Amino acid sequence: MDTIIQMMLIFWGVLVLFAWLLRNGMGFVGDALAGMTGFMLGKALGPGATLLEGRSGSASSSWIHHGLVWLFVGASITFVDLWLGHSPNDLYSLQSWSWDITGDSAFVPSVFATFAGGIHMMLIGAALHIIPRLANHPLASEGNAGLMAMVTSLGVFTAIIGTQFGNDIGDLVAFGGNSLVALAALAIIANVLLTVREQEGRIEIPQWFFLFGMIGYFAAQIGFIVNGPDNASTTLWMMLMLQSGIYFGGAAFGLVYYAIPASTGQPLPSRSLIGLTLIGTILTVSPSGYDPALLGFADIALGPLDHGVTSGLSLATCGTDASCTGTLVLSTLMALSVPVTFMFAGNVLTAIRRSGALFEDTALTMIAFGALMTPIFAIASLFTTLDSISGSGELATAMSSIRLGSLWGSYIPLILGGVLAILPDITGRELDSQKEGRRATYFLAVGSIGAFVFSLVADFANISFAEAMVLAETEIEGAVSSTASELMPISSVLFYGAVIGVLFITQNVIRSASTGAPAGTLEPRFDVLGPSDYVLAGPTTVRDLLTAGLTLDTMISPENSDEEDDNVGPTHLSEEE
Amino acid sequence: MLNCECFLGDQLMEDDGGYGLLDYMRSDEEPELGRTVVSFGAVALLLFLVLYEILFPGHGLPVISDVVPLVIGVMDSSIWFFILGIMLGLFSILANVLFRAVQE
Repeated sequence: MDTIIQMMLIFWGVLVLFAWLLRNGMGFVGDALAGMTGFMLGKALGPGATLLEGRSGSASSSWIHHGLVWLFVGASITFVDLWLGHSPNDLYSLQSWSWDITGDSAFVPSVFATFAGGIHMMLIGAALHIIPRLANHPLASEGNAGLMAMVTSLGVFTAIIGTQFGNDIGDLVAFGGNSLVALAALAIIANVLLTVREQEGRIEIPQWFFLFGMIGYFAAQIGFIVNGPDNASTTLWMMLMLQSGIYFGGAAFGLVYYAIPASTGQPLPSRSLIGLTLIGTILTVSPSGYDPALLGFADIALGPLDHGVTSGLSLATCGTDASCTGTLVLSTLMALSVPVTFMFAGNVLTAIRRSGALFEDTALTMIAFGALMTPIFAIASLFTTLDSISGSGELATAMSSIRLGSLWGSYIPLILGGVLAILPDITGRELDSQKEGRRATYFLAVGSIGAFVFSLVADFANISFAEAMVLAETEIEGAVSSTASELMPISSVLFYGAVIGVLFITQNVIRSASTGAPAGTLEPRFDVLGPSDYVLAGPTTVRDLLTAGLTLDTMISPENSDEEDDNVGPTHLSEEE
Repeated sequence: MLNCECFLGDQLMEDDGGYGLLDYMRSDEEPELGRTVVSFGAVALLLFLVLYEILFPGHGLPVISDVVPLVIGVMDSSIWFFILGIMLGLFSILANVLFRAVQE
């Protein structure tokens, strides 16, 4: 059977088997497994199990806070990687400390910090809140889940340190770190499944998104291992694309689908579109996860597995390395993932527009930005990946820029926004400052999209330069276009905006733990048609008020009127007193 | 001519002699003292540098000019300024976390 079709059948088969088991149970075997897993998560850990208090919601909060800090670290290392892309020797002075961070040596740590640290930890944090909440049952082991946040952070840190050795021992250390992350993820899956097992009603769609995401991540790895090293030139990249689609994309969709109704109190416009998004996420292949530069990451993450892929090799092309039937199936599945993103974006953007919270609420504004960019980057990723499959390779240079854009301009805003929307419910505190949060959102949006646009233009300048060299029948190794060399520094400096945006959000969230208003005490400041409250800073006209979106029902109050020491109230000029 | 006891909010205003100027001079949005001092300090520093360059053209600043060459070999790329910002951000996160932990 064709490798691509075989890989997809294994992936779908594992997911269908999982769904069947989840709905029907495994009889007495399931009871025995549940008892043993519960013991492994609790008493088997010995003193470790009593390290944490196990307060309800503490595990979810812990994962999200760790994730936010790792996301900042990931953004910072990504910035350094972008900078070293145009000035590879700018950090050469660190070699005096035996730390060689030149060229692309910051790329793999940036992937570990951003994916395994930032995105993964925030998604698990959200899952630990959403799944028990919809199951109407507490998490099976809150203490174990909190402990696993520390294990994951330790694993990510170890992996990043390991990548900096630049030798086999370092790779082994990094693989050990990644194994810790995987081990903690398995414990979380067991914890979540034990929780869902106690659920009496049917499993809700956001829960399915998370459950399929977690299981699908490992199902793709099973498909890769079963197909063996001979087919790795195809299955390795398929594994990365499937993992990107089902876990980072699917779980993000589930998070947003839960977060918007929970935050606005209004249902999403179309339930059928939600279901179609779930089915589409499982049945299609996301082209976003494909970038040959990820080979370095895969080498370390898969460690001792001989996957037989060497540097420079990309997705197997039709006719030479893979059969055209399989390639056609893969192309179709990738193309079908684009309508799924449109369904998601349409549903989400309509809900946010109806809530009137756009540019008012930090979380919803960030989600709206991510949702708007999702289909755009899905189409862009489709172009670059299909270009690679067809064997033309004309857009190979632009692949990293598209991956950067789809990650920081689409997935991360979706996940960050979703997490910010559910945080008040988890911690019991509102965000410390909505104003600062909105500012951070703008920083992140301008930073990520600006960096993407300039990076893409630089890539196209390089493509034109390469074509000109071919026409002139000359070849200069490592040469880049002068236009590109001017644009790339601008791109990396713009990305610093994303670093600052994530920093502001992280600080805001940490502050909100103590200074944020208790959750639920703040009335929603937005309505279906426009803002419900409007603070008047000074004299204005009715025309200006209407331009600002105010309606006949908007409550207008002067600035600081809610403070006790009111010194901006009406001025009385009395001649009689 | 205004000849009265005027009130701004709850505060009694003095008679301003008839031109109503005090109404406008009493600001309601004073900037924070710390921000005022920092802004004043920045302007004063700029003035000092300009004045120094006029009085001693071509001469380096005392002490500072001796220290800067020590780090030139290390910080010869502008990426270090960005990394400095990242380190400040990281430490501010750590400080926030520690402060909240101690506060509770």
